Amino acid sequence: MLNTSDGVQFATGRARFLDEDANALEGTAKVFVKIEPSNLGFPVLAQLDTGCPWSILKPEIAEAIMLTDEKGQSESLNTRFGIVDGQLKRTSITILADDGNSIDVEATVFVPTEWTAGNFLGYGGLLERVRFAVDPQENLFYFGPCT
Amino acid sequence: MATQDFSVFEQSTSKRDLARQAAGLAAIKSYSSNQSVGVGLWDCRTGSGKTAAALAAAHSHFDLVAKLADSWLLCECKAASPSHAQIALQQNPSAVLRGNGETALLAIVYRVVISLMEREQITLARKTLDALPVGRLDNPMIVRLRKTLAVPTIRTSQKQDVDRQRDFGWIRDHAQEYRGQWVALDNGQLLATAASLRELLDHVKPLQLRHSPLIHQLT
Repeated sequence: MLNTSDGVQFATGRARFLDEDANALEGTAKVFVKIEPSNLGFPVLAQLDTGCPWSILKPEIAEAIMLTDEKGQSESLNTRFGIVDGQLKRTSITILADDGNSIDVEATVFVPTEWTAGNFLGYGGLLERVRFAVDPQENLFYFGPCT
Repeated sequence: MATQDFSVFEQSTSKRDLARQAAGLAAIKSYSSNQSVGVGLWDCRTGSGKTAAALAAAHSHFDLVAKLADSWLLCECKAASPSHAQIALQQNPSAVLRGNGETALLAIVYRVVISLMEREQITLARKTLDALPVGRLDNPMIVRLRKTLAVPTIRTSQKQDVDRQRDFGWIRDHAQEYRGQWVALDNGQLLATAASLRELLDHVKPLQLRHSPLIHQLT
């Protein structure tokens, strides 16, 4: 897959990503990768956003995986849509590979009370332990666990 | 001494917001002595740099927590009453804390951690929690905070998805037509559409498919 200069494996899996969202509010290209939250049973898309302090799961998806049943840590998140109230919860997020191995991340995600935007993969609580690289020429997302 | 304000484990009260603000300001001022966490907004100190000096002399995480607690308490005192503040400034606030017991210390640490989280200072929030002695980690609110702030753990999985290029192409081509709808896609084909995820899953789950469809809401 991908190795560091000293031969250590950098990425264990890779997947093609969606690089545009035709109806995105900003109208600029973004990187959407495939994830499967907990036991949802279906892949969904999440925008890669290293500037986001926490990953964000849409409330509907959180409800579908019964994440809303347990009490989390109340939090307010400052987003480009304004300050959003919600809860931080611990759950499993699988970053899906087309080739190689997927990774299961025991992560902390923010579940907003109300949210009309999509899912986000943020740095805190999730990407901070993931090695990843983006190949914009082939639209490939490489990823693997930190060692 | 403002012990009535220590019920800061509450998650949705106006007192909580006041306590959170004071704790946050204390955290900013305290950490700003040696780390960049943004501009200081409000000076809780005596004006003589005592907090910064004390922090510089802190030799352990536990010292750090104690200094944060001191700083927070001073802010609380000033907000509550100038006379209380004068008293607090003339004595060691940690001694007052000891008088109020373990609950007060945990409450202060809790608020400081929450404030750091709200300022996206996740690493500092973790360090502050880690500074608590082991014997104080079984408080339910502290347990929840530690769980929330735990470093993510990762394991590889043999699970694989299929190439979704055709589904991505469908999204590019048809997003405007289905704005606001949840869609299920497979091999570039629209399998189902619904106004809610629950409704969509009701349509999709009974289908006998070779692999799971991609679920997406076109916002």
